[in-house]
Amino acid sequence: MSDERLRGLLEKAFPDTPAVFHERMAQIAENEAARKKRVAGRVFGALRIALVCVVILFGCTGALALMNHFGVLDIYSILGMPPYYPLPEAEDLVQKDLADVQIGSLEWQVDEAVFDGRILRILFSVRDVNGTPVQTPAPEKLLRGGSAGEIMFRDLCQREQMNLKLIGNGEVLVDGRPCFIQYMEFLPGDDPCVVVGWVDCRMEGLDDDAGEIRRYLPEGYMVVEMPFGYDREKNETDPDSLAFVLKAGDAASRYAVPLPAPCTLDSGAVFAFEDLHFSPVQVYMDYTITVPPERTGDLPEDEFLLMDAAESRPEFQARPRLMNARDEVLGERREMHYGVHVGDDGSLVLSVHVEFTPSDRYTDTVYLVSDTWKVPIPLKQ
Amino acid sequence: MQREEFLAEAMACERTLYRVAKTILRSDFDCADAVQEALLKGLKNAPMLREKQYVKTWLTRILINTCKDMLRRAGRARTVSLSDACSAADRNLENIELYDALQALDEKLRIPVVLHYLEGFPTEEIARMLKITDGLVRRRLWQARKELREILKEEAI
Repeated sequence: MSDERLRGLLEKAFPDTPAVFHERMAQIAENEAARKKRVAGRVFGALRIALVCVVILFGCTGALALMNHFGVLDIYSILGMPPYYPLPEAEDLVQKDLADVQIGSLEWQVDEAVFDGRILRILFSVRDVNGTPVQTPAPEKLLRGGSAGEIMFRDLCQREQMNLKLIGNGEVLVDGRPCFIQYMEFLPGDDPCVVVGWVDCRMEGLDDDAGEIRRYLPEGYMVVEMPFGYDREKNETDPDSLAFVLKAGDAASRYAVPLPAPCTLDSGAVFAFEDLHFSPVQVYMDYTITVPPERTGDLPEDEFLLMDAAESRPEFQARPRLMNARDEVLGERREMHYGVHVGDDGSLVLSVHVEFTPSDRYTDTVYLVSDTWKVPIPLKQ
Repeated sequence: MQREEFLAEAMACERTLYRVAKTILRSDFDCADAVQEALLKGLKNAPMLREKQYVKTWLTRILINTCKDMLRRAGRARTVSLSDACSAADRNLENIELYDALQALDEKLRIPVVLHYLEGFPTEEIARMLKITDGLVRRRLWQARKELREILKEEAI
């Protein structure tokens, strides 16, 4: 069953919002309005909110329309995401004009792609060849969810009844293996008939047979398929995709750094790197901090409480930064996520994934540093 | 962010908020209590929120925590109100079966299913809401579909 069909069934299965719920929300809105009148003696109506929405919407659209002139490595800093400065040699990894297909009245182009050994970044565009412009969404449509670009992308695709598996599944196929999309965004193009999209794809996916997450880091060439699904009938997905061949080269191994041996922190917890990758596009790290059972105390079974217990430990609270031997901070932390679980032996294990922008100030050994620990990473053996 | 801006965003998410609360709590009255508590917490902290686009995710996260707190306070006791029974009667058998199957899933599986398949949140955002890894969210979605298939003896899910 497709995700869309499951969504449809769940929509029908859930009861309608009951009056008691709606009334409670309305009551809070009324109370807030009364509070505001009392406090300020001024009336701000829905018109003001609508105007703010319109200003924000058109402000964003105007700024983002400039996007088409940038390449895939320029994208991140444009939307106000954390600073992103790839090293100049990252340009060698950029491959351009990889695919151009027309489905009905829509022309799909893969303009640029970059694979740095850990993340595959794809910049693509969709154009209505009939020249029918894509409408900027009304503010009330924006309030219901989705960015202006995504709403415009969906509107454009609906012209050809595209199923948009790319959005629904959140996966790109690499050599036939599903790989998770980490980040996806759509922006109005500088041509009113064009929407630009980009995808950051992590090179790991769910193995359906085993139910396990599997990493896939190809070398040489890889076939990339971005599934859209072409709905010619009703809610039936025909396999269709925007496919292209990308030179992966040896990026997966070239920028990988040999893992140092695990070390014991002052708190008694064991720190171990699982992956270290210093590409000219970005730095990626996976590591674990394991608190042995004799130091954990009683651990709660509830997942939320377990997370709270983990976060209250000094070695877990720290936000790491990357530093060189001269104590200079290297790059900006861009992405960090973590999870906690209890190991088979009762230990408390924190698994962290963190990414930094690259730097041209590496020393032979750099350090991952928190407020309570400093772990060396030898870059040159 | 101004409080009234936050509230306007929140009101636009009413349906999502109800369905998320209903995924964790059975009684509609409990759901209403939870959303009230979550909205008040959200309003109090709204000035700290800079990006309007995150209201829905942020409020949903507050609501999930509030619902879980309510369950903890109530010792995980669950009750079905008369109004719930009435609303169930209005829906057809197939839909009730799916809803019941969903409710039969462990809460850890049920919440990602509703957030992802029904409300369209990306797995990455769900991971942040639930403070678990993206991979674990996807694994739970996979596990949920597998269990739903078994419960409903339905090949297609």
